[in-house]
Amino acid sequence: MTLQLDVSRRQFMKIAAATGIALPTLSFADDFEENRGSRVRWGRMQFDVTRRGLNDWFHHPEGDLNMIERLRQITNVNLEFDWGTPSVADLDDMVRYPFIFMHAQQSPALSDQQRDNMREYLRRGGFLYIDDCVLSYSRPDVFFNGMRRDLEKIFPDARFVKLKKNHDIFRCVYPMRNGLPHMQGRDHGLWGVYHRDRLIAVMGSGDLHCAWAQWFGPSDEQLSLQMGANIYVYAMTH
Amino acid sequence: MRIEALEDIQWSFPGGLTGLIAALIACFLIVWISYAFTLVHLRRWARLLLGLCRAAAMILILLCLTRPTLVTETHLDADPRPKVAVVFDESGSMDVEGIHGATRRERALWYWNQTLANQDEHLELDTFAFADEMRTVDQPADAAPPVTDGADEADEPPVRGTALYRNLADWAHRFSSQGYDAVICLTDGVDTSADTRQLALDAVHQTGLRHAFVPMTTELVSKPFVEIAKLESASVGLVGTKVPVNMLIRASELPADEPLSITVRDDDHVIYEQDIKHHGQTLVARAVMFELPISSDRTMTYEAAIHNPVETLASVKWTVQGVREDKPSVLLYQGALDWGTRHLRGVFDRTDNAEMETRFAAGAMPSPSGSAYVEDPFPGPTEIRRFHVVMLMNLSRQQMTAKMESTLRDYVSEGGGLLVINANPASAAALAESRIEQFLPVIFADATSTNRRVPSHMDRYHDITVQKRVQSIRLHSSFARDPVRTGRDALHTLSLTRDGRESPIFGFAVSGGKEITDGLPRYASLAPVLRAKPGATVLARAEVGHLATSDGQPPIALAVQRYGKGRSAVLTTDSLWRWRLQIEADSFAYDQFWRHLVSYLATAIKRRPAWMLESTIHPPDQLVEVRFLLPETAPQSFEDLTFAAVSDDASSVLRMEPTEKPDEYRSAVTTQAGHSWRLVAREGEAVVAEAYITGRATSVDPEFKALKADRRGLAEIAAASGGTLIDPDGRFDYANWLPRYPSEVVQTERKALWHTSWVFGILLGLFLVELLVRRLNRMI
Repeated sequence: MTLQLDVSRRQFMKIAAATGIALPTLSFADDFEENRGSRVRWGRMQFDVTRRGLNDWFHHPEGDLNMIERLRQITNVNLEFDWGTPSVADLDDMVRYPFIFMHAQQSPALSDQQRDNMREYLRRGGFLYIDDCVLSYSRPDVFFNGMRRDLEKIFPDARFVKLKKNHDIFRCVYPMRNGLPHMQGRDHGLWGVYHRDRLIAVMGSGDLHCAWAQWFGPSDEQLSLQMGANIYVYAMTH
Repeated sequence: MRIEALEDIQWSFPGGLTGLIAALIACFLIVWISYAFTLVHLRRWARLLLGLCRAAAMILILLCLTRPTLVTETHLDADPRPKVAVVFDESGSMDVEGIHGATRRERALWYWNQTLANQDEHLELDTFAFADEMRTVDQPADAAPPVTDGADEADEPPVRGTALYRNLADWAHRFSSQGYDAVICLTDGVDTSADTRQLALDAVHQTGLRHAFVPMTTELVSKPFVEIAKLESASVGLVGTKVPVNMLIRASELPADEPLSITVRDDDHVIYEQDIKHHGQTLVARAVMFELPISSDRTMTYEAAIHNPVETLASVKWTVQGVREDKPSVLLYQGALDWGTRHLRGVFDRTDNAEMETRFAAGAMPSPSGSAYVEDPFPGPTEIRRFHVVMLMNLSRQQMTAKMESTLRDYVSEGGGLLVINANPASAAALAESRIEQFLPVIFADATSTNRRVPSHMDRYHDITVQKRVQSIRLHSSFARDPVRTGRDALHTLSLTRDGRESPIFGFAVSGGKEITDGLPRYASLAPVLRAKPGATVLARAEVGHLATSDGQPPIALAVQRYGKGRSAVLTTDSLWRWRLQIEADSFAYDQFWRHLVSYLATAIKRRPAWMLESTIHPPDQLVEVRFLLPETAPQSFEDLTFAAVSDDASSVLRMEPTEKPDEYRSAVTTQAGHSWRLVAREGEAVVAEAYITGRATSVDPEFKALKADRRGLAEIAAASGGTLIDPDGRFDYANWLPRYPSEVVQTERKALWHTSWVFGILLGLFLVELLVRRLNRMI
């Protein structure tokens, strides 16, 4: 007797791949977590931008996975191979993530409530990494400037400091002798946002994230991942 | 009471009346058959006579079988009316004038006259009245004359407080033993004593005495009040640090638009100001938290005052003794990167309370080629003495050397504080039977009992990513939009043990000896340990659901112990940074937990003589226990110290007695309304330690603070007793509310009606007549 399954070749490959990969991961997870600290998940912020109806916040999620994997490989951060997408409109969701990545092309359109959420999140000790995805050559830093304006409203007493090349953030893991790697757009360097002497966010306009997603070639990818690791580890330890 | 005899004839027959009728029919048939067939040869008179004789005999026998009995019951008729105690509330709140003029007591008297006084036919009523104590009154109008809030009038008697719950508990037992069937209480339900409703509930539950409450809900003219209910502050602070202060403010019955603010001053300056939101008439309790900068090494007196634009409504004084000493120095030594570092630095490093140095063990920090990172060595035996407390976070067994373990053991035994933080089951299990375990308060579980973690569902993409094929995945936008939310994100709340509730470490999360659930630390993960060591103190346990310890109790979350002159502790959860993110930015709870824990661990080094007060402010006229800490390491001896309580116009020597703790002594002072006692410990003329304890000012008598009638509380007690809440404006069927007493049978006399000799004589006579007739007719 022959058992006939009504599956396409593509579906069969998917099932086989999933089975083959899923089984080893059961032991993989335990081995990975040994001698690591408390488990944490990468967060990508959901937010609206000024151009209505445009989902501008979730470009290239595979770039996030690349960054996550790099952090898992070179550090002993107990970072899940996974991410969450907290919404700036939901403070309870945001506070699940100690580090949230924000990336877009357009200027953010935050309501007063959302600004309040962001203020509360950062005051509780949360951290934002803001990276501009570069809209166009004529308007290369729309998101960077928009976020800066919003952060100035959120924290009128915050200090915005362009981080010098000898700052620890450029050498805490990988030595970045030229400071923040620049991929495209306008080069503002890396800015730190300090509130009461505490670094609460860093923001750059060089589109590191697209490089994480291999948009600019292997060399830039490595450079951008190294800078990403520096930012993450520095935020954890300061 | 009267005696009455009731007679009744009782009979019984198998089958009852039906059986008796059937038997009579059968007898009639037998007699008729004998008359119609067996006696047909006899003469007519003999036949008739025999038939009648047989019928009479049958009937007599049947009637005897029914055993007719005359039962005479003698009844003793008592008063059939249920006995009810009517209790009137005559406390101060019952005498406050209502918005329509009448007081609640007048309303209660009106109800008595209109309703209860007419129930004489149905209920036997005795009247009582209570305020602080209960008393018997002949008439409800005999209750004590009303008095008013006489704070400003010296001639007025004091306002009567209401001890409803205590009195209710007393009268429940008393009335129950005196044979009362129920209690009707006319009260507004306001209890201004310190008793809890549970006291009354327990009493009615034990006695089962039925209670009906007639709530007096007359709306009263408001009497605004503001008070500082509680003030918690350390009595000693290091110069250059900040001492957290927690205050609880209560306000009610205020004009809705009246601005209210609190100002905290030291001798010269305003240190803190804040507006206090209130809701007019509704009772609100506001927590105010701030920090006092300790700038000099002298005792500073602070005064917090609550005021409106016109006047000060409440105030309290307290002191903080500034001591000059190096800031507590903490070493955070990490085995793995953790977000706890950022948040712990937020507590210690970025504030002026302590200095925290962060170091990473070998392998903790990534060190790719060219990295500026240089491995931090663990401090040696000399360098480690710079630190008051050493925290080992996420340190694995492999990262510990014999030298490090030896250094730590000497450090703790000589007075240092050690805290091990490890929520990773595998890493924690590896510490089992290690040298460091010897001076920690717990036995770690072995590796076989580790709590395995669940892999992420995204792990299936892992290998694809590693192989650099992420472009081919092109994760769909809908997937990216679907945030992963699993139960693993849920935080668990620590559960405090009795020691934990009494420990100053959790002082911020305990009020009145009970945990404030929302204020307790929460954690995400936990590494179970086997058990606490003898002599260790478990302060907090994990939630139920994790693996239990070897003694079957919930897993240990925080345990401490003394080791030598120092102290060691183990926190089996993560470093609680997720809790920091979940609580409001303005909350000090996270900071307080860590500061208190570090302070506790560093105590052996830093402790100095100090007064220990649970709160600086207390209700007036209360005997409050005060404790004095005299550490073993202090240069003073107990015998050299004198203790006194000093106020503006009085001074008394305090006799300090030893407590169950070797370095603590206790005494007690009675608080006075609006006055402060200055507690002073002296060595000769030199002041060693001082503190203030204040009696809450009574600008408004407690009796007038909560003027809203407590219908809910009364309903709860009534329900617990099987009673009811009676609408004072409605009708209530008192006639059928309680069953009437039945009359009591004191004697029962039974007299058989047919089992008598003459009945048997008649039967014998009938039998002889039968024989005679038969003989005359030659039938025998």
